[in-house]
Amino acid sequence: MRKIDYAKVDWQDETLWLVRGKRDRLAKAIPEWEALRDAASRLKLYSNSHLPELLEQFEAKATAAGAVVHWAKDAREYREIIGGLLTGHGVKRFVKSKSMLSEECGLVPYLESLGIEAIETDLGERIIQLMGTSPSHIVLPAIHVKREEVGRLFEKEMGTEPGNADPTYLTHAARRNLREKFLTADAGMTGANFAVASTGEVVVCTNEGNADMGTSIPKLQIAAFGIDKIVPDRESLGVFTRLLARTATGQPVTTYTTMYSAPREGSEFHIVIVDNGRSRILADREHFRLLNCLRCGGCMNTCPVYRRIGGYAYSYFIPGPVGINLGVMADAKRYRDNLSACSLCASCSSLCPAKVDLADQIYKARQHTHASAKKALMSKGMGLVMARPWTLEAALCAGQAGMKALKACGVKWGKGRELPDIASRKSYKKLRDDK
Amino acid sequence: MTSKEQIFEALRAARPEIFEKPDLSALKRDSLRYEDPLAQFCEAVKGSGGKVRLLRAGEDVPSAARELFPDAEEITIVPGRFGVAENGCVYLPEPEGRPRVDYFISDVLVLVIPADAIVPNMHDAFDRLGETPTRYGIFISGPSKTADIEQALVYGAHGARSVGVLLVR
Repeated sequence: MRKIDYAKVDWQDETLWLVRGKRDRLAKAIPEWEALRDAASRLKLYSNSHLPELLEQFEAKATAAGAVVHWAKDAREYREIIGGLLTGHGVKRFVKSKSMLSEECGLVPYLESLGIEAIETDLGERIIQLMGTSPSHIVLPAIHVKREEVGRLFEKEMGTEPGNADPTYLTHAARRNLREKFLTADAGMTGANFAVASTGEVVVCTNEGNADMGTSIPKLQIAAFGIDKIVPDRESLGVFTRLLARTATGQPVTTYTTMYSAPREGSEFHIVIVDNGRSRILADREHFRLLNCLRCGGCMNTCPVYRRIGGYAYSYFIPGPVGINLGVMADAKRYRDNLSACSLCASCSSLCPAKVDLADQIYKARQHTHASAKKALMSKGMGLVMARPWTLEAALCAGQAGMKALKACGVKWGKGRELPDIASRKSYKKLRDDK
Repeated sequence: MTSKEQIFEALRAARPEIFEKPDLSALKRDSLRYEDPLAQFCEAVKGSGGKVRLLRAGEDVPSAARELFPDAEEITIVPGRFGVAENGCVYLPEPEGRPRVDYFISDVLVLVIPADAIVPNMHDAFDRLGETPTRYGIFISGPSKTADIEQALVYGAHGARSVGVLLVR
């Protein structure tokens, strides 16, 4: 059985709460903060309800600027378009910046199967890739990893000093290691934070500069994003760029806010626009506001459940409040268990910069999600037992003995979890009568 | 049917509730302004980990840049268009006569802007850019940074380790 590292649980909880605190301080310093949230929500609702017009406009402007636009209706087409571009250009080494869409569509394993070296260049993503796992947070992918673990990993992968776990030392080791990859890569890829219809430009917001390095050196640049990244114009970017970093990490802005439209001299710029289930979300009356999501991760930092259980406790690749809902939209049957990881406190809804009604959606989704036959039978049985005092008393007596017997036989509650003890010695009624 | 046509058909079939485009003029009019935008800009640049100062009368840019970073082996100096008071961003267009990578690859980057080209916030910044397409543009605030190891802030992830802003009167 895996032992729970409670110190690590507390550390993650406190660290994410600090990020939330930084966000609060910056938000309170802007008197029009709530008006900004309202504007962001209404801009997204406008964009998402006018997608055909805005996507056409984007494509026309991007094409006029010299980019090549591709359309992928699902994950397979997304992988094949990118794989085709890379093999067609003879790409051996490919550097990419952080993109949740690439996780959603399984890009890196696919490219590796084609014999292409696909390198994550965001520090957190690189740590995760070298560890052979997946991100546990959409903005802070390695939030669950301690510095000593990174030290040991880099010692093995990059030859850093044994026992040195200093974040500055390790970050600069990764800088040197990845600098060589940037200089020798044949292609670079980013996702997008926004795609601007009025100008045909792709906007990428990062702190590390990895996206900028990866798009400034190789001859082939790719940007891939979901149809929900469309915003009408630069005027709307004023609203979104004021909200994004403040909510995500508690910074006034990201270090780099880059606006790409024309390819660099002598190179190519390809844009891949992806649906992969987003049009289905648009058609869903209860969940369509999910398309407002800016993927800032703020709902994770504020969620009392996420902060304690961490990203790996969820079965969908995006965790936290937004991931619970995206999972239900992706495959309700497969991901419905995540709906339990919510106390309906609605902290997420009141913080979301684009006002996604996250908690309401979880509540509504619970109403349509039918329990499994086994759970329904158990609930019915519990109902019968609890309906009369004497059946409950009898069950408790039997339960105390029965539970001990089951435990003695090695029966467990579930994977990794012991059976609990039934309240020892005295029942509530006995306690009350004894008083 | 092409993939694009299939996506557009699905979007039209979704028949979403139609929302009108919001008017942002009131939000922009009432947005945060500063009594001294230049002082606020300088504070914000320092907050993002950068250095900043006004060029003195008769001083030239290279020697001012050298004074900001006396130990630097090499300093890349590039002109910017304007600064943003609320967050310390400097806007840079497609570089002329040099590659885009110059903004990121050198250890020390110095951005030069006119001291009177400071807009209060990002609304004003994008209004200034307008809706005319450009080939490329970037806002930079301070040096490259990361906190991906235990949320400990480290400068110099992949881009410039040090960034300075020189304000020219």
